[in-house]
Amino acid sequence: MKPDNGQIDLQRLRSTDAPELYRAIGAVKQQLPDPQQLAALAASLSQMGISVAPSAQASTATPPSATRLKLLIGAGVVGPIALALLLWQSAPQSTAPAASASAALAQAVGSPEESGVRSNEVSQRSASALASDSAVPSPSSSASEVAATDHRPPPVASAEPLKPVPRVVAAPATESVRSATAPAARNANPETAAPGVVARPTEVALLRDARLALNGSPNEALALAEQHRALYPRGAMVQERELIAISALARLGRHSAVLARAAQFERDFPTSPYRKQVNALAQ
Amino acid sequence: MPPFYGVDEPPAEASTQAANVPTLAEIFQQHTPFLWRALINLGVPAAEAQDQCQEIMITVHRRLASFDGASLRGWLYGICVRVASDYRRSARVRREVLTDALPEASDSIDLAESLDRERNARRLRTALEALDEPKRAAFVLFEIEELTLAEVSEAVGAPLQTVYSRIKAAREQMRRTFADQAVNDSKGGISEAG
Repeated sequence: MKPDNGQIDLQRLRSTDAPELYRAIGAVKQQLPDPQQLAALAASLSQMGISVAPSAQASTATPPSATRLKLLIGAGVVGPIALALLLWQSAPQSTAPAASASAALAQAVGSPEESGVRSNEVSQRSASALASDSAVPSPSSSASEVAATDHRPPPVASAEPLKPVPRVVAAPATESVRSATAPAARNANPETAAPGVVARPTEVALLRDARLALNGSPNEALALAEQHRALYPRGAMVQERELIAISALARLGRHSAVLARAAQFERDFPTSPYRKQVNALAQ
Repeated sequence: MPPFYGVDEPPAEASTQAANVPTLAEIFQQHTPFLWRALINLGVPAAEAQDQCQEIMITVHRRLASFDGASLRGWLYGICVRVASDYRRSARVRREVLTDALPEASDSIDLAESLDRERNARRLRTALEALDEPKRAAFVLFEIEELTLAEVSEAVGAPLQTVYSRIKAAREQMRRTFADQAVNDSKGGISEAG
Protein backbone atom coordinates (compact mmCIF):
# COMPACT_ATOMS: atom_id res chain seq x y z
CA MET A 1 0.00 0.00 0.00
CA LYS A 2 1.29 3.41 -0.86
CA PRO A 3 1.53 6.06 1.80
CA ASP A 4 -0.68 9.11 1.48
CA ASN A 5 2.27 11.24 0.86
CA GLY A 6 3.55 9.83 -2.40
CA GLN A 7 7.06 11.18 -2.37
CA ILE A 8 8.05 9.70 0.98
CA ASP A 9 9.39 6.27 0.37
CA LEU A 10 12.13 4.27 1.94
CA GLN A 11 13.89 1.09 0.96
CA ARG A 12 14.69 -1.39 3.63
CA LEU A 13 18.29 -1.79 4.55
CA ARG A 14 20.23 -3.70 1.94
CA SER A 15 23.13 -6.01 2.52
CA THR A 16 25.36 -3.67 0.57
CA ASP A 17 24.56 -0.82 2.95
CA ALA A 18 25.89 -2.56 6.03
CA PRO A 19 26.55 -6.27 5.57
CA GLU A 20 27.03 -7.15 9.24
CA LEU A 21 24.03 -5.22 10.39
CA TYR A 22 22.00 -6.74 7.60
CA ARG A 23 22.99 -10.23 8.64
CA ALA A 24 22.27 -9.52 12.28
CA ILE A 25 18.80 -8.37 11.38
CA GLY A 26 18.34 -11.55 9.41
CA ALA A 27 19.38 -13.57 12.44
CA VAL A 28 17.08 -11.75 14.79
CA LYS A 29 14.16 -12.26 12.44
CA GLN A 30 14.49 -15.97 12.97
CA GLN A 31 14.08 -15.73 16.68
CA LEU A 32 10.43 -16.51 17.04
CA PRO A 33 8.81 -18.11 20.06
CA ASP A 34 8.49 -21.86 19.85
CA PRO A 35 5.10 -23.60 19.75
CA GLN A 36 5.31 -24.51 23.41
CA GLN A 37 5.66 -20.91 24.42
CA LEU A 38 2.74 -19.92 22.25
CA ALA A 39 0.69 -22.73 23.69
CA ALA A 40 1.50 -21.57 27.19
CA LEU A 41 0.39 -18.10 26.22
CA ALA A 42 -2.82 -19.41 24.73
CA ALA A 43 -3.47 -21.41 27.87
CA SER A 44 -2.91 -18.52 30.21
CA LEU A 45 -5.09 -16.29 28.06
CA SER A 46 -7.86 -18.79 28.19
CA GLN A 47 -7.48 -18.90 31.94
CA MET A 48 -8.42 -15.25 31.88
CA GLY A 49 -11.44 -16.06 29.84
CA ILE A 50 -9.92 -14.95 26.58
CA SER A 51 -10.21 -17.69 24.05
CA VAL A 52 -7.80 -17.65 21.16
CA ALA A 53 -8.79 -21.07 19.94
CA PRO A 54 -9.59 -21.16 16.25
CA SER A 55 -13.17 -20.60 15.09
CA ALA A 56 -14.67 -19.99 18.50
CA GLN A 57 -17.68 -18.23 17.04
CA ALA A 58 -18.61 -21.23 14.95
CA SER A 59 -20.18 -22.72 18.04
CA THR A 60 -23.68 -21.65 17.07
CA ALA A 61 -23.69 -23.73 13.92
CA THR A 62 -22.95 -27.42 14.06
CA PRO A 63 -19.27 -27.49 13.39
CA PRO A 64 -17.59 -30.25 11.44
CA SER A 65 -15.82 -32.69 13.66
CA ALA A 66 -12.38 -31.19 13.15
CA THR A 67 -13.65 -27.79 14.15
CA ARG A 68 -15.46 -29.28 17.06
CA LEU A 69 -12.30 -30.88 18.23
CA LYS A 70 -10.44 -27.61 18.07
CA LEU A 71 -13.29 -25.96 19.85
CA LEU A 72 -13.17 -28.51 22.59
CA ILE A 73 -9.46 -28.09 22.88
CA GLY A 74 -9.90 -24.38 23.17
CA ALA A 75 -12.81 -24.34 25.56
CA GLY A 76 -11.63 -27.37 27.42
CA VAL A 77 -8.08 -26.36 27.96
CA VAL A 78 -8.81 -24.37 31.08
CA GLY A 79 -11.34 -26.57 32.75
CA PRO A 80 -9.36 -29.75 32.72
CA ILE A 81 -6.15 -28.03 33.68
CA ALA A 82 -7.83 -26.26 36.55
CA LEU A 83 -9.45 -29.49 37.54
CA ALA A 84 -6.19 -31.31 37.19
CA LEU A 85 -4.59 -28.83 39.54
CA LEU A 86 -7.43 -29.38 41.94
CA LEU A 87 -7.06 -33.12 41.77
CA TRP A 88 -3.39 -32.75 42.11
CA GLN A 89 -3.63 -30.78 45.26
CA SER A 90 -6.50 -32.52 46.93
CA ALA A 91 -5.51 -36.04 46.04
CA PRO A 92 -1.80 -36.31 45.43
CA GLN A 93 -1.89 -40.07 45.28
CA SER A 94 -3.96 -39.92 42.14
CA THR A 95 -1.11 -38.32 40.27
CA ALA A 96 1.03 -41.41 40.50
CA PRO A 97 -0.46 -43.19 37.49
CA ALA A 98 -0.63 -39.92 35.63
CA ALA A 99 3.01 -39.34 36.32
CA SER A 100 3.98 -42.72 34.99
CA ALA A 101 1.83 -42.13 31.95
CA SER A 102 3.55 -38.82 31.48
CA ALA A 103 6.94 -40.44 31.78
CA ALA A 104 5.99 -42.78 28.97
CA LEU A 105 4.77 -39.87 26.95
CA ALA A 106 7.87 -37.88 27.63
CA GLN A 107 9.88 -40.76 26.28
CA ALA A 108 7.74 -40.98 23.22
CA VAL A 109 8.10 -37.27 22.69
CA GLY A 110 11.85 -37.64 22.82
CA SER A 111 14.74 -35.27 23.45
CA PRO A 112 15.84 -36.17 26.98
CA GLU A 113 17.29 -32.77 27.71
CA GLU A 114 13.91 -31.20 27.30
CA SER A 115 11.98 -33.79 29.19
CA GLY A 116 12.51 -31.92 32.42
CA VAL A 117 10.42 -29.09 31.17
CA ARG A 118 8.16 -31.17 29.05
CA SER A 119 7.22 -33.72 31.65
CA ASN A 120 5.77 -30.96 33.77
CA GLU A 121 3.37 -29.98 31.11
CA VAL A 122 2.83 -33.52 30.12
CA SER A 123 1.97 -34.71 33.57
CA GLN A 124 -0.46 -31.88 33.81
CA ARG A 125 -1.91 -32.92 30.53
CA SER A 126 -2.29 -36.52 31.42
CA ALA A 127 -3.63 -35.61 34.80
CA SER A 128 -6.25 -33.58 33.08
CA ALA A 129 -6.87 -36.46 30.75
CA LEU A 130 -8.25 -38.10 33.87
CA ALA A 131 -11.01 -35.61 33.77
CA SER A 132 -11.71 -35.89 30.12
CA ASP A 133 -14.47 -37.86 28.59
CA SER A 134 -12.75 -40.68 26.79
CA ALA A 135 -14.81 -40.01 23.68
CA VAL A 136 -12.93 -36.79 23.25
CA PRO A 137 -9.42 -37.41 22.15
CA SER A 138 -7.34 -35.57 24.70
CA PRO A 139 -8.83 -32.12 24.99
CA SER A 140 -6.14 -31.46 27.51
CA SER A 141 -3.54 -31.39 24.83
CA SER A 142 -2.84 -27.77 24.36
CA ALA A 143 -2.19 -25.83 21.22
CA SER A 144 1.43 -26.87 21.18
CA GLU A 145 0.36 -30.28 20.17
CA VAL A 146 -1.94 -28.90 17.58
CA ALA A 147 0.90 -26.86 16.25
CA ALA A 148 3.36 -29.71 16.36
CA THR A 149 1.13 -32.37 14.97
CA ASP A 150 3.98 -34.78 14.37
CA HIS A 151 3.83 -36.41 17.78
CA ARG A 152 0.28 -36.57 18.87
CA PRO A 153 -1.04 -40.05 19.48
CA PRO A 154 0.52 -41.02 22.84
CA PRO A 155 -1.63 -39.09 25.34
CA VAL A 156 -4.85 -40.89 24.61
CA ALA A 157 -3.30 -44.29 24.57
CA SER A 158 -1.37 -43.79 27.75
CA ALA A 159 -4.25 -42.19 29.56
CA GLU A 160 -6.74 -44.81 28.54
CA PRO A 161 -6.10 -47.38 31.25
CA LEU A 162 -6.86 -44.73 33.83
CA LYS A 163 -10.40 -44.59 34.94
CA PRO A 164 -12.00 -41.43 33.64
CA VAL A 165 -13.61 -39.24 36.24
CA PRO A 166 -17.28 -38.66 35.48
CA ARG A 167 -17.76 -35.74 33.19
CA VAL A 168 -20.00 -33.93 35.62
CA VAL A 169 -16.99 -33.08 37.68
CA ALA A 170 -15.39 -31.22 34.83
CA ALA A 171 -18.44 -29.16 34.05
CA PRO A 172 -18.40 -26.63 36.91
CA ALA A 173 -14.80 -25.68 36.30
CA THR A 174 -15.42 -24.97 32.65
CA GLU A 175 -18.63 -23.24 33.51
CA SER A 176 -17.02 -20.86 35.92
CA VAL A 177 -14.48 -19.97 33.31
CA ARG A 178 -17.20 -19.34 30.79
CA SER A 179 -19.18 -17.10 33.05
CA ALA A 180 -16.05 -15.20 33.91
CA THR A 181 -15.55 -14.33 30.28
CA ALA A 182 -18.84 -12.47 30.23
CA PRO A 183 -17.77 -9.00 31.32
CA ALA A 184 -14.75 -8.83 29.11
CA ALA A 185 -16.11 -10.70 26.15
CA ARG A 186 -16.55 -9.08 22.83
CA ASN A 187 -20.08 -8.55 21.62
CA ALA A 188 -19.60 -11.49 19.29
CA ASN A 189 -20.28 -13.85 22.13
CA PRO A 190 -24.01 -14.51 22.29
CA GLU A 191 -24.14 -16.85 25.27
CA THR A 192 -22.77 -14.30 27.70
CA ALA A 193 -25.71 -11.95 27.47
CA ALA A 194 -27.37 -13.09 30.69
CA PRO A 195 -26.12 -10.98 33.56
CA GLY A 196 -25.35 -13.38 36.37
CA VAL A 197 -25.82 -12.22 39.92
CA VAL A 198 -22.41 -12.94 41.25
CA ALA A 199 -22.00 -12.37 44.95
CA ARG A 200 -18.28 -12.92 45.02
CA PRO A 201 -15.88 -12.71 42.14
CA THR A 202 -14.90 -15.95 40.52
CA GLU A 203 -11.34 -17.10 40.73
CA VAL A 204 -10.85 -16.41 37.09
CA ALA A 205 -12.29 -12.91 37.31
CA LEU A 206 -10.16 -12.03 40.29
CA LEU A 207 -7.00 -13.23 38.71
CA ARG A 208 -7.82 -11.68 35.40
CA ASP A 209 -8.26 -8.33 37.07
CA ALA A 210 -5.10 -8.86 39.03
CA ARG A 211 -3.28 -9.68 35.85
CA LEU A 212 -4.66 -6.61 34.13
CA ALA A 213 -3.55 -4.41 37.00
CA LEU A 214 -0.07 -5.86 37.05
CA ASN A 215 1.63 -3.41 34.74
CA GLY A 216 -0.21 -0.28 35.67
CA SER A 217 -0.62 -0.69 39.39
CA PRO A 218 1.15 -3.66 40.88
CA ASN A 219 -0.18 -2.68 44.28
CA GLU A 220 -3.68 -3.35 43.14
CA ALA A 221 -2.62 -6.58 41.51
CA LEU A 222 -1.11 -7.68 44.77
CA ALA A 223 -4.24 -6.76 46.68
CA LEU A 224 -6.38 -8.74 44.26
CA ALA A 225 -4.08 -11.69 44.56
CA GLU A 226 -4.40 -11.49 48.32
CA GLN A 227 -8.12 -11.32 47.96
CA HIS A 228 -7.93 -14.45 45.90
CA ARG A 229 -5.91 -16.07 48.61
CA ALA A 230 -8.53 -15.16 51.19
CA LEU A 231 -11.47 -16.31 49.10
CA TYR A 232 -9.92 -19.35 47.50
CA PRO A 233 -7.16 -20.61 49.76
CA ARG A 234 -7.34 -23.98 48.07
CA GLY A 235 -8.55 -22.74 44.74
CA ALA A 236 -7.84 -24.22 41.38
CA MET A 237 -5.57 -21.41 40.35
CA VAL A 238 -3.24 -21.09 43.25
CA GLN A 239 -0.21 -21.33 41.02
CA GLU A 240 -1.45 -18.58 38.76
CA ARG A 241 -2.20 -16.40 41.74
CA GLU A 242 1.24 -16.93 43.17
CA LEU A 243 2.83 -16.10 39.85
CA ILE A 244 0.87 -12.88 39.69
CA ALA A 245 1.65 -12.00 43.27
CA ILE A 246 5.34 -12.63 42.77
CA SER A 247 5.33 -10.57 39.58
CA ALA A 248 3.61 -7.75 41.43
CA LEU A 249 6.14 -7.88 44.24
CA ALA A 250 8.94 -7.83 41.72
CA ARG A 251 7.45 -4.80 40.04
CA LEU A 252 7.20 -3.11 43.41
CA GLY A 253 10.85 -3.81 43.99
CA ARG A 254 10.16 -5.87 47.11
CA HIS A 255 12.92 -8.22 46.40
CA SER A 256 13.11 -10.12 49.66
CA ALA A 257 9.39 -10.79 49.50
CA VAL A 258 9.86 -12.05 45.97
CA LEU A 259 12.57 -14.41 47.09
CA ALA A 260 10.59 -15.72 50.02
CA ARG A 261 7.48 -16.28 48.01
CA ALA A 262 9.34 -17.78 45.09
CA ALA A 263 11.02 -20.22 47.45
CA GLN A 264 7.66 -21.15 48.88
CA PHE A 265 6.33 -21.63 45.36
CA GLU A 266 9.22 -23.90 44.58
CA ARG A 267 8.42 -25.99 47.64
CA ASP A 268 4.70 -26.15 47.00
CA PHE A 269 4.81 -26.74 43.28
CA PRO A 270 8.13 -28.27 42.40
CA THR A 271 6.84 -29.43 39.04
CA SER A 272 4.85 -26.36 38.13
CA PRO A 273 4.93 -25.21 34.54
CA TYR A 274 5.41 -21.71 35.91
CA ARG A 275 8.56 -22.58 37.74
CA LYS A 276 10.79 -21.12 35.10
CA GLN A 277 8.97 -17.81 35.19
CA VAL A 278 9.03 -17.70 38.96
CA ASN A 279 12.74 -18.43 38.98
CA ALA A 280 13.34 -15.71 36.46
CA LEU A 281 11.49 -13.24 38.66
CA ALA A 282 13.49 -14.30 41.68
CA GLN A 283 16.79 -13.50 40.05
CA MET B 1 -27.51 -3.51 0.67
CA PRO B 2 -24.31 -4.88 -0.72
CA PRO B 3 -24.12 -4.42 -4.48
CA PHE B 4 -23.81 -8.12 -5.25
CA TYR B 5 -23.13 -11.42 -3.66
CA GLY B 6 -20.19 -13.25 -5.05
CA VAL B 7 -20.66 -16.97 -5.49
CA ASP B 8 -18.12 -17.88 -2.90
CA GLU B 9 -18.98 -15.16 -0.45
CA PRO B 10 -19.65 -16.15 3.14
CA PRO B 11 -23.29 -16.18 4.24
CA ALA B 12 -24.74 -12.72 4.65
CA GLU B 13 -25.32 -12.90 8.40
CA ALA B 14 -21.62 -13.16 9.05
CA SER B 15 -20.71 -9.98 7.23
CA THR B 16 -21.75 -6.56 8.36
CA GLN B 17 -18.25 -5.18 8.50
CA ALA B 18 -16.47 -8.37 9.30
CA ALA B 19 -14.47 -8.58 6.11
CA ASN B 20 -11.36 -6.86 7.38
CA VAL B 21 -11.87 -7.26 11.10
CA PRO B 22 -10.33 -10.58 11.95
CA THR B 23 -11.18 -12.67 14.98
CA LEU B 24 -9.01 -12.82 18.03
CA ALA B 25 -8.06 -16.36 17.14
CA GLU B 26 -6.89 -15.30 13.70
CA ILE B 27 -4.86 -12.51 15.15
CA PHE B 28 -3.36 -14.85 17.65
CA GLN B 29 -2.39 -17.35 15.02
CA GLN B 30 -1.06 -14.97 12.47
CA HIS B 31 0.56 -12.24 14.48
CA THR B 32 1.50 -13.36 17.98
CA PRO B 33 4.85 -14.88 17.09
CA PHE B 34 5.90 -11.65 15.45
CA LEU B 35 4.56 -9.42 18.18
CA TRP B 36 6.48 -11.60 20.60
CA ARG B 37 9.66 -11.11 18.64
CA ALA B 38 9.03 -7.39 18.39
CA LEU B 39 8.58 -7.10 22.14
CA ILE B 40 11.99 -8.60 22.70
CA ASN B 41 13.60 -6.33 20.17
CA LEU B 42 11.85 -3.40 21.77
CA GLY B 43 13.62 -4.23 24.98
CA VAL B 44 11.41 -6.63 26.90
CA PRO B 45 13.58 -9.42 28.34
CA ALA B 46 12.85 -12.79 26.78
CA ALA B 47 11.77 -14.16 30.15
CA GLU B 48 9.03 -11.54 30.31
CA ALA B 49 7.97 -11.73 26.70
CA GLN B 50 5.16 -14.17 27.30
CA ASP B 51 3.71 -11.98 30.01
CA GLN B 52 3.87 -8.87 27.94
CA CYS B 53 2.55 -10.64 24.90
CA GLN B 54 -0.38 -11.60 27.04
CA GLU B 55 -0.77 -7.96 27.87
CA ILE B 56 -0.99 -7.23 24.16
CA MET B 57 -3.60 -9.88 23.57
CA ILE B 58 -5.67 -8.65 26.49
CA THR B 59 -5.68 -5.18 25.00
CA VAL B 60 -6.48 -6.53 21.56
CA HIS B 61 -9.32 -8.49 23.06
CA ARG B 62 -10.71 -5.41 24.75
CA ARG B 63 -10.35 -3.07 21.83
CA LEU B 64 -10.92 -5.27 18.83
CA ALA B 65 -14.52 -4.17 18.63
CA SER B 66 -13.44 -0.58 18.18
CA PHE B 67 -10.76 -1.36 15.61
CA ASP B 68 -11.60 0.59 12.48
CA GLY B 69 -10.36 -2.05 10.10
CA ALA B 70 -7.85 0.20 8.39
CA SER B 71 -4.43 -1.21 9.09
CA LEU B 72 -4.38 -4.21 11.32
CA ARG B 73 -0.62 -4.47 11.55
CA GLY B 74 -0.24 -0.82 12.33
CA TRP B 75 -2.83 -1.15 15.03
CA LEU B 76 -1.39 -4.32 16.54
CA TYR B 77 2.15 -3.07 16.56
CA GLY B 78 0.95 0.17 18.06
CA ILE B 79 -0.32 -1.82 21.03
CA CYS B 80 2.92 -3.75 21.06
CA VAL B 81 5.02 -0.60 21.18
CA ARG B 82 2.97 0.81 24.03
CA VAL B 83 3.11 -2.38 26.04
CA ALA B 84 6.87 -2.57 25.60
CA SER B 85 7.23 1.05 26.54
CA ASP B 86 5.04 0.68 29.63
CA TYR B 87 6.99 -2.35 30.60
CA ARG B 88 10.29 -0.60 30.29
CA ARG B 89 9.07 2.33 32.27
CA SER B 90 7.77 0.19 35.10
CA ALA B 91 10.88 -1.93 34.95
CA ARG B 92 13.12 1.09 35.17
CA VAL B 93 11.51 2.07 38.42
CA ARG B 94 12.12 -1.37 39.75
CA ARG B 95 15.63 -1.86 38.48
CA GLU B 96 17.38 -1.46 35.23
CA VAL B 97 16.35 -3.71 32.41
CA LEU B 98 18.77 -6.47 31.90
CA THR B 99 19.42 -7.55 28.39
CA ASP B 100 19.12 -11.17 29.11
CA ALA B 101 20.81 -14.11 27.53
CA LEU B 102 19.61 -15.03 24.11
CA PRO B 103 17.56 -18.18 23.81
CA GLU B 104 19.69 -21.24 23.29
CA ALA B 105 20.46 -21.74 19.66
CA SER B 106 18.07 -24.27 18.23
CA ASP B 107 19.55 -27.73 17.95
CA SER B 108 23.03 -27.41 16.62
CA ILE B 109 22.83 -26.87 12.91
CA ASP B 110 26.36 -25.87 12.64
CA LEU B 111 28.12 -24.69 15.73
CA ALA B 112 30.19 -22.03 14.08
CA GLU B 113 27.23 -20.69 12.22
CA SER B 114 25.03 -20.60 15.27
CA LEU B 115 27.75 -18.94 17.32
CA ASP B 116 28.12 -16.38 14.63
CA ARG B 117 24.42 -15.79 14.51
CA GLU B 118 24.22 -15.54 18.24
CA ARG B 119 27.00 -13.03 18.34
CA ASN B 120 25.36 -11.02 15.63
CA ALA B 121 22.06 -11.06 17.44
CA ARG B 122 23.76 -10.00 20.64
CA ARG B 123 25.44 -7.13 18.89
CA LEU B 124 22.20 -6.08 17.39
CA ARG B 125 20.52 -6.17 20.79
CA THR B 126 23.25 -4.03 22.26
CA ALA B 127 23.05 -1.57 19.42
CA LEU B 128 19.29 -1.37 19.78
CA GLU B 129 19.69 -0.65 23.47
CA ALA B 130 21.72 2.38 22.54
CA LEU B 131 18.88 3.92 20.52
CA ASP B 132 16.34 6.15 22.12
CA GLU B 133 12.86 4.73 22.34
CA PRO B 134 11.21 6.39 19.32
CA LYS B 135 14.09 5.57 17.03
CA ARG B 136 14.24 2.06 18.30
CA ALA B 137 10.57 1.49 17.68
CA ALA B 138 10.75 2.90 14.18
CA PHE B 139 13.80 0.83 13.35
CA VAL B 140 12.46 -2.42 14.79
CA LEU B 141 9.10 -2.10 13.10
CA PHE B 142 10.48 -1.13 9.74
CA GLU B 143 13.62 -3.22 9.44
CA ILE B 144 12.84 -6.29 11.49
CA GLU B 145 9.08 -6.51 11.40
CA GLU B 146 8.97 -5.21 7.85
CA LEU B 147 6.04 -2.92 8.29
CA THR B 148 5.42 -0.31 5.65
CA LEU B 149 6.22 3.29 6.45
CA ALA B 150 2.52 4.00 6.74
CA GLU B 151 2.05 1.15 9.19
CA VAL B 152 4.96 2.28 11.29
CA SER B 153 3.53 5.76 11.25
CA GLU B 154 0.22 4.47 12.53
CA ALA B 155 1.85 2.23 15.12
CA VAL B 156 3.98 4.91 16.68
CA GLY B 157 1.48 7.70 16.13
CA ALA B 158 3.85 9.98 14.31
CA PRO B 159 3.73 11.52 10.84
CA LEU B 160 5.35 9.70 7.95
CA GLN B 161 8.07 12.27 7.61
CA THR B 162 9.03 11.91 11.26
CA VAL B 163 9.08 8.15 11.02
CA TYR B 164 11.19 8.41 7.92
CA SER B 165 13.84 10.48 9.58
CA ARG B 166 13.80 8.36 12.71
CA ILE B 167 14.50 5.27 10.68
CA LYS B 168 17.27 6.98 8.78
CA ALA B 169 18.86 8.26 11.95
CA ALA B 170 18.46 4.92 13.70
CA ARG B 171 20.10 3.12 10.83
CA GLU B 172 23.03 5.44 10.83
CA GLN B 173 23.49 5.07 14.56
CA MET B 174 23.06 1.32 14.40
CA ARG B 175 25.61 1.03 11.69
CA ARG B 176 28.13 2.95 13.73
CA THR B 177 27.59 1.14 17.03
CA PHE B 178 27.59 -2.08 15.15
CA ALA B 179 30.89 -1.42 13.51
CA ASP B 180 32.38 -0.32 16.83
CA GLN B 181 31.25 -3.50 18.46
CA ALA B 182 32.66 -5.58 15.68
CA VAL B 183 36.01 -3.93 16.24
CA ASN B 184 35.81 -4.49 19.99
CA ASP B 185 34.78 -8.09 19.60
CA SER B 186 37.60 -8.92 17.27
CA LYS B 187 40.08 -7.25 19.59
CA GLY B 188 39.28 -9.10 22.73
CA GLY B 189 36.43 -11.48 22.23
CA ILE B 190 38.01 -14.52 20.65
CA SER B 191 38.53 -16.32 23.95
CA GLU B 192 35.92 -18.89 23.04
CA ALA B 193 38.06 -20.12 20.18
CA GLY B 194 41.01 -21.08 22.41
